[in-house]
Amino acid sequence: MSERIQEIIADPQGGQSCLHVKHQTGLDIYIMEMLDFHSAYALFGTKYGSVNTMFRLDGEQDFAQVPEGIAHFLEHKLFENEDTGAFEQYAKTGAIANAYTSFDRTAYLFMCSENFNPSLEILLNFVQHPYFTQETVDKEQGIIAQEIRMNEDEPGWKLFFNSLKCMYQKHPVRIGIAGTVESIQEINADLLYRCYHTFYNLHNMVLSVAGNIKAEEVLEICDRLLIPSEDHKLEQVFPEEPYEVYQHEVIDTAPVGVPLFSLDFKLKPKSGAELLKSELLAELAFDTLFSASTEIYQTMLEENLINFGFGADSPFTGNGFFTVGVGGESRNPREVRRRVFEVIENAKKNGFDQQAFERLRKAKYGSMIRSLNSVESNASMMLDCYMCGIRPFAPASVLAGITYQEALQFLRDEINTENTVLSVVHAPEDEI
Amino acid sequence: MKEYTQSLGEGIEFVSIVEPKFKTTNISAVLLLPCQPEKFAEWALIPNLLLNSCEKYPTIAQMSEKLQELYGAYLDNSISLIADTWQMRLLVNVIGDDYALEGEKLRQEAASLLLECILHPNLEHEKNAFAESAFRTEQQELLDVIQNEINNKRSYAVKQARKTIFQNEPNACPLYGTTEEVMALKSENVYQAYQEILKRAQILIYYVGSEEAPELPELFRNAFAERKAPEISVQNPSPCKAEPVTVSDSMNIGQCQLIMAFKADQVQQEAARMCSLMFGGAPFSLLFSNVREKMSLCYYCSSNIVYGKNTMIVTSGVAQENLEKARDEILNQLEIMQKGQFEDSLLTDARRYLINALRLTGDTPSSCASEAFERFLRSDHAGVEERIRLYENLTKQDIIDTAKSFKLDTVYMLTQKGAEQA
Repeated sequence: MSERIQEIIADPQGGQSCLHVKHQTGLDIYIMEMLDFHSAYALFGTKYGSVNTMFRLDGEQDFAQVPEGIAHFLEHKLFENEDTGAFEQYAKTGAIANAYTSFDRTAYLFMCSENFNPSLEILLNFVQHPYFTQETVDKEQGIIAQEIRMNEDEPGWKLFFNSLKCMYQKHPVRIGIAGTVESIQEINADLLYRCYHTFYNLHNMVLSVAGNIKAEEVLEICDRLLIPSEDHKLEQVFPEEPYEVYQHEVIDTAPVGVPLFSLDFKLKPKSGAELLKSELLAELAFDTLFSASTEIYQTMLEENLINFGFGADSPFTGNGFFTVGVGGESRNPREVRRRVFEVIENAKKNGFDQQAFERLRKAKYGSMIRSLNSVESNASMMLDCYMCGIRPFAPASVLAGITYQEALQFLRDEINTENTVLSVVHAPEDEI
Repeated sequence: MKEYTQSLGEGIEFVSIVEPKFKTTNISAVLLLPCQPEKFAEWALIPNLLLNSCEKYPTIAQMSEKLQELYGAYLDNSISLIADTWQMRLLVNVIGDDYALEGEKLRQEAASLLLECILHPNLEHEKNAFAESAFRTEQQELLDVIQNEINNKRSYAVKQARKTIFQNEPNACPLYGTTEEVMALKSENVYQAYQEILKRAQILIYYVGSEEAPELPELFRNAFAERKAPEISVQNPSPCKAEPVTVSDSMNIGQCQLIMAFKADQVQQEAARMCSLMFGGAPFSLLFSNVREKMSLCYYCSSNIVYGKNTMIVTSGVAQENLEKARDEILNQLEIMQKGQFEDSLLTDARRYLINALRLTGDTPSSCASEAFERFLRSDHAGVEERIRLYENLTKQDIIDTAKSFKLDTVYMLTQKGAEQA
């Protein structure tokens, strides 16, 4: 077994630093000691989310195609071991524990003000020791079915997934994270084991901890508990996704108040450092064009075309997908779309407010400083950076180097008003 | 951490919390008044009218520009009820001066901006009213907020349930007023209400930052006149109904909402909080372990205590066909608590969980301010460690007695439209 490799990564702007360790088991570990805090936060994550539906390992002939929602199902089931559940174990340390599954990752986490080391042991142990039986799988179906129903009753969720379904013709980002009540019926213990052994390989995972902890103690626990795994050379397939959106408009009804809308632009997907820069450019360009300080915002507000909920959404990105857009509430979303397009086409032609751009860059810098204020956000930041294939604190230095000209060029090259989806959810009694 | 409280005159207090590890400055003003439900609509309009524009920055665009210049500082507000007391919180948050790239004095700027908003709103002086355009915008915004309450089914169900749970009490009234009340508002009346609040409310200022801010007490002392602040009551137990009441509404939804309220005549705050945590406030609680994990009836089934009302509310999202089963099991689990038929470890686990959570206080600016505010509400100076001792001293019998004191008061169900006839 090779030795672990470690380096210290510093953040010149926020004045912080973290330790990155490539553990001999294959796991990437990020540790930020924040000794003036009482609390500590740990995340153990894998690059496995709802979009990872087709894969094979080195030596396997066929690609496996698994039911929708299985990554999320696996997250639920991993909390149960053969003799006891993880929550019961955490109850003995007092830690507040949880987990989440998104499109491209699953993470298990806990927060505590004491007993960090035993809680970390629980985390590393239960995530590495799966135990699934058909009986426990069956039992979970009722719980997850209710989670799916809860999401379906959430109009923002509906709006978002309706848009994704129109935006992406083939990419699995178009399917719901928890799957459907029908798709989860296809999940069984064998499938869960197969997915587990494919994606919960330490070479595909990260441990991120921040707070009142000692790096040496964290590494000692890792040395003791991490189970060495071989790099299986995971191979994944994503269907070839056309550049064009599938459908330009989707209108749905639900019991809601003011109609909700999102106007999303489909962009060419990117990865790594290029993605990071593109995300920042997209965010800055859209904030400059549509923040509350702009004329279009003020005018539409005065005309009661939007309310204060209107604004640019953060770019939505991942393996093979990239969107950016605006959204909010409006009784006439098509008119909002017309005006948003007008502003974008005008900006492409004549440029946009450079002073506003600089102000918003300053505001973005402020929000990055603000996010360093808690152990939770620091641990999450390190995990996010790993998942995106970039170094911790990289966003701040990339932001500092971005220019107005680059943002304008990005707008001209990447933002296409003919490649958009307008998603609306309104009450059945309202007309759109 | 260094903390001190200073009186700035009758009815006005300044609390300074200095914690060098924080990278931001948080300044909030909390204004408290006894509930007057007939004024809820006009009161609800005030926080946005104050923070979205002011005399110096009379449009949302100008105000936003200013905030962007301050490194994306933000102004935030909330209104809520604490028992029968109405609370308005106005807040400014900015990054610490150490992080300003050009040496700007951000703390002072932020404090001045907050005061500018509170004291010099965007007015039409000749009419003694808020500027008409700002008023109309905020009125429409509030109407939208009311209309949108239906969007989140869980919180909507709780709001509907509260009408029955707290029947004939201020807590039954909608905090933002009704659509009709908001539509009937006049700018000059809302301005009068604003002046009244400023003159009468008990005011608490919280500063949380990385270094001492010696200029702030004086700044706020000069801003607010002394006042004979009204008596604030935050312990207003809600009477339990003679017989439990069941109410239901229906809607076009996929998941039903089940809300159950339990009330006690008298309850000790720490015991009630611990009891609720063991009952349904954590992943090891009885409701989570049984209603969710063993019976697979729901994704969430949790309980919490309504401050100062001696009321515990359980919320759960369940399938239509399981509503009755879930309700019965929730009652069954309460009975188990009342009979003391739970493992001793449930209490020790809950105690550990609560203590862990309490010790997290102090790691975020908002939790520092909340902790100081809670001490004000309790009218004591007990710090976190003293409160931990109170939880440590609770016995199993205390929990059994507290559980026994809770009686079912209201069951509210939001069911699927059409399914009720099935």
